[in-house]
Amino acid sequence: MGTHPNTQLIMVNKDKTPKLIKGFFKWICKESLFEELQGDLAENHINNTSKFSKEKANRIYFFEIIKLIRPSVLKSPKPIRIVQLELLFSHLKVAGRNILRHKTFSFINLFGLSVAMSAGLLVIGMITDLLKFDEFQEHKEDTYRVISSVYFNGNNYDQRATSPLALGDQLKEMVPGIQITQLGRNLRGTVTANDKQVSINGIYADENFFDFLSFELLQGSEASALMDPFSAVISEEFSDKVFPNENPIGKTISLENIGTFNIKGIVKNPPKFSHIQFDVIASLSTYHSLANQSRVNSNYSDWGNLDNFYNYIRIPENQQKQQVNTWLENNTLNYYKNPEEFYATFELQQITSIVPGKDLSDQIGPKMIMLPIIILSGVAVMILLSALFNYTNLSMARAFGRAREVGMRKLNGASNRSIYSQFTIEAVFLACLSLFLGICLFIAIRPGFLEIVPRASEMLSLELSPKLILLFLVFAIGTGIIAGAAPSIFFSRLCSLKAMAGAKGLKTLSKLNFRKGLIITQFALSSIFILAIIIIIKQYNFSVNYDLGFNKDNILNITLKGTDPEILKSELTKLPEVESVSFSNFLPGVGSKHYALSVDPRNGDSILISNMVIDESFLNNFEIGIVAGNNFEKGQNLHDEQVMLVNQRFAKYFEYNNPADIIGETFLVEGKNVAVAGVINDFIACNLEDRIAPMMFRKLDDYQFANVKLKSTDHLSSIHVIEKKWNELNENDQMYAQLMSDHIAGYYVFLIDMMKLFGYVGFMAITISCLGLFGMTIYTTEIRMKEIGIRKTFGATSKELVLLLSKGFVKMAFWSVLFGLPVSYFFFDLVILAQHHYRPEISVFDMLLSFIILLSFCLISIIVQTWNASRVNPTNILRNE
Amino acid sequence: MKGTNLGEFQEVVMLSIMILGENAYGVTIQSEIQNRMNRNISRGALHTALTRLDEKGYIQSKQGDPTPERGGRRKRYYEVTASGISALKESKQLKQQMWELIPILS
Repeated sequence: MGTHPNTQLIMVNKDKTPKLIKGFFKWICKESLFEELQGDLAENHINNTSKFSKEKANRIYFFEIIKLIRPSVLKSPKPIRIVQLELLFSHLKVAGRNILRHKTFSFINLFGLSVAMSAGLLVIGMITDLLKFDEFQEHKEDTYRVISSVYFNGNNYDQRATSPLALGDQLKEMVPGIQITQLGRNLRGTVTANDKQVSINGIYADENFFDFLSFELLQGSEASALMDPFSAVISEEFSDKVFPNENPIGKTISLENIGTFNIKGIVKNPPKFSHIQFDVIASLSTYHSLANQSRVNSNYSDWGNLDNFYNYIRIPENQQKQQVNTWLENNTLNYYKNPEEFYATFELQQITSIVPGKDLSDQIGPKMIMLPIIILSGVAVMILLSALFNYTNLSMARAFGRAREVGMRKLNGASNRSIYSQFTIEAVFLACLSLFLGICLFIAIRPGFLEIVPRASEMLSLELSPKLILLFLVFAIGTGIIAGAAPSIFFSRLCSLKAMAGAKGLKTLSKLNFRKGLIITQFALSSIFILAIIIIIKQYNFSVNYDLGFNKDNILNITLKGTDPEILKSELTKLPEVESVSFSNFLPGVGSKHYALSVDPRNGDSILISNMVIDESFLNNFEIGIVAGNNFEKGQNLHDEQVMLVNQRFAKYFEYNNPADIIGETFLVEGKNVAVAGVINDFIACNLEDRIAPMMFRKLDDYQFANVKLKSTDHLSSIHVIEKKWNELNENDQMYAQLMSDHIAGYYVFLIDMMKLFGYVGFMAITISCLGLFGMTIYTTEIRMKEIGIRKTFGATSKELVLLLSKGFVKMAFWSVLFGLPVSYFFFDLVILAQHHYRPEISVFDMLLSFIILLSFCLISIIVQTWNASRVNPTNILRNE
Repeated sequence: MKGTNLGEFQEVVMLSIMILGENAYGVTIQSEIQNRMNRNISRGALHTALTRLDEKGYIQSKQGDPTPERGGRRKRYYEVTASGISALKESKQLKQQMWELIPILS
């Protein structure tokens, strides 16, 4: 045997045959033969895996098993089995009769379970969809992406999906035998082709793109389509849109600001479950020639550039992976000249673990992190628990009625096990029924769900496949078994004599604490939902009405789409409806951070400072005051940055206590010395999730939005006039404009969506728990009917009886709120709202409100039943005594 | 007990076991037959043949030690018994005699 520990590890070949088929084989095969046969098949499977693909090996294994189904291999059937089968049918029959007989009980459970199922199905569907991501990649097992962690001054700044192009080139030299393709993102803009204008969302890729990534080129040469600069490959869909009934090969498309591309091929549309999405792929070598014409920064491929580019590697051999990892770990640091200032570390990420995966910035495609899935699964589990508790509770409460049946069965010789299986089968039967209803509900709410959850329709389809239905069925049976566990154990342990003796001998009543516990948990869960809805409504109102530090009324934002700002401004200011026009690179209050590299003058460290590009009219338009110094001058050259504005926080950050002191100081910004011309008031430049940061305001040629201040409050007609003007300037491109106040409301619209989602889910959860409570009151009052009758004959009024009967339940509701509120408070305070810096406080009043809502729900369901019970004529109850 | 006559496939299986000697177990027998006869056989067909031969007393088997390959499961090694060998010889002789009786070929 090998002496090196590693060699021994390789020697141990694990049995990797598909578990499901193996389990089936074990189930049908004679025990004495299983070891030998499975061993042989596993050995063959291992050989086949190394010879063919894993799928083929699995297929061969499957057919081998099928061929092994022969009398000499199969277990001989046990004669008992027929009896068991008959028993099963009898149990099913009894279950069906019971469901029909106890209509309230069945309705409550069916309703609860089917709602819970539909929620569970949504989560299962979502997770299976996300797991499908990039599964179509043929070499998914050994394809990786290099991801990076960026460090400034030794502090981890962020984790990115990108890596430098230089890394890929170097790696290819260091480890021969691996394949690398390099991609770039943000191929965006308006494309003119075939006399049409369309906006595109594409990527850059080098000529190795088709080598190992499974995207199919329908026309063109895989090796050379993306070789030359300014070549492009277009998707089928794009081709149909722009070149209907034509052969696009050899034609050109021109992208604003970049240039004209020759179409060299057509690629099949990327599958929905691919994290790389595109309608156009441009050759990466385009970047090189752009750099030669110094239209992009010539250091774009350097180790220092961690934006925009991706390295995808295929490592066919396991040893090479080790090699790549060690190289990434040990050697990459050498390429950074000043690691104490700035460096990056790199690691491999398998292509299938990109979505869902780590929360990385600069993703090439849609990003789906685990948090929403975890929250949704949590919610689904809560509803499911509620429904399960209902089942358990109600079945136990029914013990009174069913104890005789169980006693009878036991006296006739039924074993504990058979009673157990009877009750489990009943629960599974009910669960399967609710699965059916749940699937109907699932289909009904699916479109709404896809709309509500942010970007869900982009990434999920939630289509019912046979595999999914099989999963659902397993889920339903599992639910049934869990739901039936407590009642099954309880009934199977019943002593037959005591059971026959009637209610007095039953232990159910002493088990009340268990059931009370379940009800309290159920209502605690409901109180979480109620508080959640209250908190989300508050956060929304708070966000929309928060004083952002600038004026948001009467401002219309127009996306420039490459229109010349100066022309637009001169044309628009001529209109009587327009007061003034300013420009910015993003919209205040709804934007994301933009950083610029700067140097701290105190210690010479490089730091990243948030910045925003504005013009001289911006402050006026948004009514932002100047604290010290002056605004930008009107005619300032956009390409020669001399001065900038900063906010108060900036002055404070660099320890200028008096804002006037910072005027005239120069800062190194992206390699240029820029003087501070003025200090302006702090305002929320990004969004309410982040606190106000030190910011620089610069005047550069990077305007994306025109902010038009309107004179009249008649916005609709003003927009109409402006749109007319826009159409004169841009013949083909439609104007995209929105009011600032709508922008802000729209940015927080996800809170409304969340409210809807939680509202729906919460309503369901509360309905389920209330129905459960309702059922409980029915059965408890049933047990106490005689007591009620006697009390009534002795002169108790209905009111007193209601009070007596509901006292216990109100107490439980109180306890549940006592447990539920702190839990939900901490959950929201620490998990959800912690992401927002500016947020409302959760007050005692909110807690009280949710308490009152919950209590009123409880009281309604309790009083309805107890009132009915207390009005019964006592002679009817006591007649038989 | 079934009859003691040998089927063609069973004969091939026994011959393979004898060729393989010490190392005759399911996988090797299967691949030996596949290589030599250039025909795909399933493990199930082989199993049936082995069972029949065992019933007739022509082969015997013993379980080997667990091996790290194949998920740690034991192999079952097969070996042809004396009566098996004589049955093979008998079958060969029978055929030989019949061959000799063909007038044109001899």
